[in-house]
Order: sequence, then structure tokens, then C-alpha cells
Amino acid sequence: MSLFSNCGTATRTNTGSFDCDEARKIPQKIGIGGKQFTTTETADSDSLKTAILAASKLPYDDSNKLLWIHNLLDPADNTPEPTTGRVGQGPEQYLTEGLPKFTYSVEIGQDLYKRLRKLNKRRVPVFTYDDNDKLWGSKTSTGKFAGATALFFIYGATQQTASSPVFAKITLSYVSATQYHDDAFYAGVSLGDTEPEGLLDVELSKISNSTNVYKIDVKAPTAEFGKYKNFAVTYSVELASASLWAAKSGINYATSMPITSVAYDAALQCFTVTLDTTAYGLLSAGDKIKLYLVSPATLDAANIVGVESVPVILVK
Amino acid sequence: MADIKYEGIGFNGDWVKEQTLADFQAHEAHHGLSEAQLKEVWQLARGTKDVEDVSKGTVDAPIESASTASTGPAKKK
Repeated sequence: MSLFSNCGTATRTNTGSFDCDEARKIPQKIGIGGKQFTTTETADSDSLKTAILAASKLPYDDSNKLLWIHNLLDPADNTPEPTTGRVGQGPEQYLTEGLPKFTYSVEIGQDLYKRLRKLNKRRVPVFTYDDNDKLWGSKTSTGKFAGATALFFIYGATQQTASSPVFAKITLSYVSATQYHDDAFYAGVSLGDTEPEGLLDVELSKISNSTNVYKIDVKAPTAEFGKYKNFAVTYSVELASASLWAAKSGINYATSMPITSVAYDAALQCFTVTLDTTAYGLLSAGDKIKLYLVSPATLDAANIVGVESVPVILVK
Repeated sequence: MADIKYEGIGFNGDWVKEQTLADFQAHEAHHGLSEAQLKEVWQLARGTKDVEDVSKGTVDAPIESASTASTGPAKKK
């Protein structure tokens, strides 16, 4: 019987090593989200980068969406030591293994800080990108490359003091040592310091309407109270395009409603969005219409870069 | 969706071509275009107006879709 067998249960292992066996190096950024990469997508650096950028430009409610936090500083390993015990004078035994936990510092403004706080206490799949151009994750039961599940928490010094600048700490407490260690894999990819760039939430809001013709604001709230960046002005030409807008009504907003035209209103610095009269007429008073811009990737292709719309609900 | 840009207005070309001229003109009258201009849009959507005939005037550029436009402004940040 093998040295590593015990009552017929074999622990199969050998200690040979591949040249490509790598250790996790200094973390540079983390990617949070449910994207699971196929072997085709991870076939080479360019393919993986393309897939990463595509996943990062997905709408927020897409299960494959990836969010990125860049420029991780001062990484610290806070993994608890394993607990041990012994019976009488017997040998020391390892009882429980501490789950991996890491803390990173990030320089951050209050606006991004409050948005990231929405992830606090959430279990999220996390990819870690290190300074050796390796993206670390885990292999799923279906053979895909995914993030390892961790509890996310952000906290920290949100006010400058005489001795410390403002920073936040991000902790990742992995929920499974097996997933983090035994299912760990990396994929090589070259990403710039701020790649992939995050998207800005652009809020649509109704100014007024005359039956099926709506005046719609396209603005992003900034960190300064009451101040907005008006994307209607920035993209007055590009967004005057019916194909970049979408409207849905009905149960779960499953019914598409044609948008017949979109025009920039220079006086109000907003857009005039016209819905199909016939479809609009079929709605009852009080029925709701969800109006939004198409996916960030499609907007990007139309030279509207780095934004995702927050839909507005119109009530007839 | 095939967009038709005319005087800075983005029309839904697929929708436009399904309308009668009168219905289309009535539906989009609020943009302030003349009946003749709206007729041009309608004809463009239906492919009954040569783009070059009108592009010297008021047509910006009919495009297949926003994502396939071959010309456009430079990317903005």
C-alpha cells in the first residue's frame, strides 16, 4: 500500500513542477464580478484582454459584468494561523485552516468610496491582477476561469489628519481555502495601470412631456452637491440617434416600444425623445415605460465612451 | 435599427419606412421641419430618394446604425 493511502483512500500527488508554475506576486488591481472566461478567451494575452474589456463594458445588471479597483497599495496578508491542539502529551495536530484574507489600501475620493461601500459584506467573485501580468482566479466545476469568492469590505481613514492622508482599506476574506488554493489558476494578460477603465453612471430623467414626446435630461451627478455633468451637451450629436435609445413597457418591461426619433434640444440642453404614438396609445394611464440608453459597448462604438445609463421610469 | 440623421435629428429608419407619408409627417411635426423636409426623410427611409440628391442640402448622413457608422466625431473623454 502506498505511503499516501489510508484504508484505500489514496491521496494522489507528486512534486514535479512546470516551468510555468508561478507564485502570486504583488497585487495591482482586483476585478469583481461574475465573468467566467472560457479556454478560448484565455488562449493568449490579447484574447483575454479583449474578453476582459468586453466584460467591463457590460451593463451593471449583467451577470458577466466586471468592476475594477486599480492601484492597490500596501498589500497585507491577514490570513489567520491554523488552529492546533493535542491530546495530552500527544503530537500537535492541525485542527482548522485559516481562510485567506488580504487587505489593500487605495487612495480614493469620497464619491468612489461611497459607491464601493455598496459592495460591503457582499460575497463576490474576485480576480487579482499582479505585477507579473498574471490574472489570478479559480477554475470552476465547468472548466471555466472565474474569480474566487470573497467577502468584500471597504473602510478606512476618510478624513485627512495631521499624520495621515486619506485612504481606504479593502479587505477580501475568501470563503474557501480549497477554492483559493487548490482550484487556483492564472492567465497571462497585459493590462495598463488604469485598464479597464470604470464606467460612469449617467442618469436619465424626465423634464416634461407632451403625450408621447418626452424631454429627457442625461446627467451624471458629481461629488459636488447639486452639480452634474451634462452628457446631453457633451454628446449632443452622438446621442441624437434613435438606435442608441431603448424603451420598454409591460410586465417586467418585456415589451419593446419603438422610439421614432431623438433630437437634441439646445435650449433646454436635453433630448427630445419621441415614442411611437400607436404603442404609446395602447398603454393605460399610470402604465410605466423604462427608457434607457443601449449597452455601454454599443455606446462606446458610437464614440460615447465610458458611460452606462441609469434608466428612467416614465409614467403615462 | 437603421438611423437616418437629418438636420441633427436621429430618426428610426425602420419605423419611418413602415409609415404612410401623412402619418409620418403628423407624428414628427414637433421637430419643426417643413413638410418637404419630412418627406425627404420618409423617402430616404424607403430608399426612394437618392442620398446624393439631398445630401448637398440638409441631410447629415444616413447611416446603417450607430455602431457601423464609418464617419463620426472624434472620441470624447
